[in-house]
Amino acid sequence: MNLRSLVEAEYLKQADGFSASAEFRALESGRAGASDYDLFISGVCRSHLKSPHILAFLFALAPPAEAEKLKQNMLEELGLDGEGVSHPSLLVELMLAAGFDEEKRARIWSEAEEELRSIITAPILFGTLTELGLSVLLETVAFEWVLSRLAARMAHFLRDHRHLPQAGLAWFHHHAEVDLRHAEEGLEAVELYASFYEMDARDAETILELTFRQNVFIRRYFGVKGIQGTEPGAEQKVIGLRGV
Amino acid sequence: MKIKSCTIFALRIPFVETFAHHTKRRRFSDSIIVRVRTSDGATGYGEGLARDYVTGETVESSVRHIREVLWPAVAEHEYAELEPRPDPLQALAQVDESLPFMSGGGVIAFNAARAAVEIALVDALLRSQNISLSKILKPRRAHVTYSGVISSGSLETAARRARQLRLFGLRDVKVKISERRDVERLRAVREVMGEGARLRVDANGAFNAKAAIDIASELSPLRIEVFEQPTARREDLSELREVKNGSAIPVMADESLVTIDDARRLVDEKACDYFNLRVSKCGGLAPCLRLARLAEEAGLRFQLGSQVGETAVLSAAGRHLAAHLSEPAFIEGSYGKLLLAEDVSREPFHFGHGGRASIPRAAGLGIRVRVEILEKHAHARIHLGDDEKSHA
Repeated sequence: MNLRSLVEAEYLKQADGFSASAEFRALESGRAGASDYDLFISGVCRSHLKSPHILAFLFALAPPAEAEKLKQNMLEELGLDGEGVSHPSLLVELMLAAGFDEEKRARIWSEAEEELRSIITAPILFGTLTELGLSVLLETVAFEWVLSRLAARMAHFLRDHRHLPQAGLAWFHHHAEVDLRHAEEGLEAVELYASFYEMDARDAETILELTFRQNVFIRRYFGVKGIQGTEPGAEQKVIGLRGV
Repeated sequence: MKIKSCTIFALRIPFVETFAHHTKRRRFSDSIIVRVRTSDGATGYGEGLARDYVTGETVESSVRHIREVLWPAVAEHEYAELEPRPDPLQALAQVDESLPFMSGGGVIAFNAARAAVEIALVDALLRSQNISLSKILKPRRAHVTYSGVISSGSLETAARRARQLRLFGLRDVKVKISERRDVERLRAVREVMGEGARLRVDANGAFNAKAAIDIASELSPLRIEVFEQPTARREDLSELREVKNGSAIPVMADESLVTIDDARRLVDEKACDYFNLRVSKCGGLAPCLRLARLAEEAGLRFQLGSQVGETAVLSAAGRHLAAHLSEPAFIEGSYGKLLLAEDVSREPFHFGHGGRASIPRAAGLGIRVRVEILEKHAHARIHLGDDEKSHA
């Protein structure tokens, strides 16, 4: 399989894993509680409020043939293109529509900043920026690819079960429409990136595996609790400790 | 200074991927974190990981031991400031002497429990004085270089994991083995890692002496540096010694080395070439310093190992020790979020490219523990001292 096929297969696996997760199904079926919808909204906002920064990083690493497209993406994200709507401002609209008060909104902003800080301060495992850049690009394109397929469903369950108005759901509508194009361009960008930097095919495949060791959507939108498996006997251990 | 309160957090942090070896498959960390508070308000954290197949401890028995034995010993003690000394064992003596080493009820040693409390006390006292553990355990090197590990599994999984470790720039890799056909996995790992990599194997006691010698013979062409715990821990060290004498690969004692008495017997009976010291397994920083000293005096080399699933708390203690010890042959640990879905420190604490990691310089262990993460993953909390009163 070539890199593009491997990447697409992984993205499909990520999308399927996310939409088949217990958390997603509960939200979509309306079985989830109000607080679960709010946790999901918080996860989405925390994950994407700082997207322009990530795009700026990718712009800096982009092969010349891709730089213009990435610049356009970044300007669009910042609302500096023709449309003039920044994506972070759409997320703020989402939080307002969900009734998040100022303190809660500030906390989510702060968590998004902390996440970025954590990425920046973490020791880098890869030996070069080329490898790190591919990993970041793969995850960024994964969001465009998966959102282009699932954002409309997310908007529907937030409308139907969390009763959010259409205006508050603009971020999802935008990604459902625009990212169909971005997702296809993204796959090309991954191929071009690996080719321009003459990356070893095996290394690129390994970076793909490392980037998606977990379902990044479950991790980012639902948090660690979402990826927590149930260990047989775990409950007995808890009960055992209560008697200590 | 008195220690006014103690809280024990029994955690269950999910792993990013399953980790397996001969005796266990793990999908989550079952770490025990101890938090203590001094009379002047300083807080310290320590960590231990109970392993029934190593020290005989379980999470339940470790927690009970802390509550019923270690905490009463700590609560009545008056601690002075920790003063940097040329000999770190002297600097740590008052903490070390306040914590008994105990066994019983099928437990070889309550060392994980002891390590958790020892590290928490050291962290709290140093934070109270606003000095780093690196002032006590003076680093001999600017950074620590960790090795990677490949858990049990298929040949394909081993090769894939090896490619990841190679991409991370790791040159030291340990491979878990448990059967004859694992030789093929080692061949695959050697092919991926290249001739420059240093490979070790760890059987976690999977073989009898003859099988261990046979597999060592097959592994020899692959230039394996060390054969860790080829046979099971037994009172009688003859099997381990037989492997040491019959194998071209040097033998490392891990499960066979829990207490200082174990170490003396291993030396007296010439049953191994290397010690594997682990802070949790051996009961804390001070016991590890003693064991390293004993190894050096006996002309043995040692590895500073780690616990699968340790959080940044135990990793930080291990890193200070690794930076201080004269010549650890191999260093393990600091996987952080490479293995844990979430770590407990604000500072990302895993190693970087090439396995390199810097030495923390902030007060105490040098990390900031996020209490909300402890709370999120705790499946049990036990409050003692003033904490018990405030939670009553």
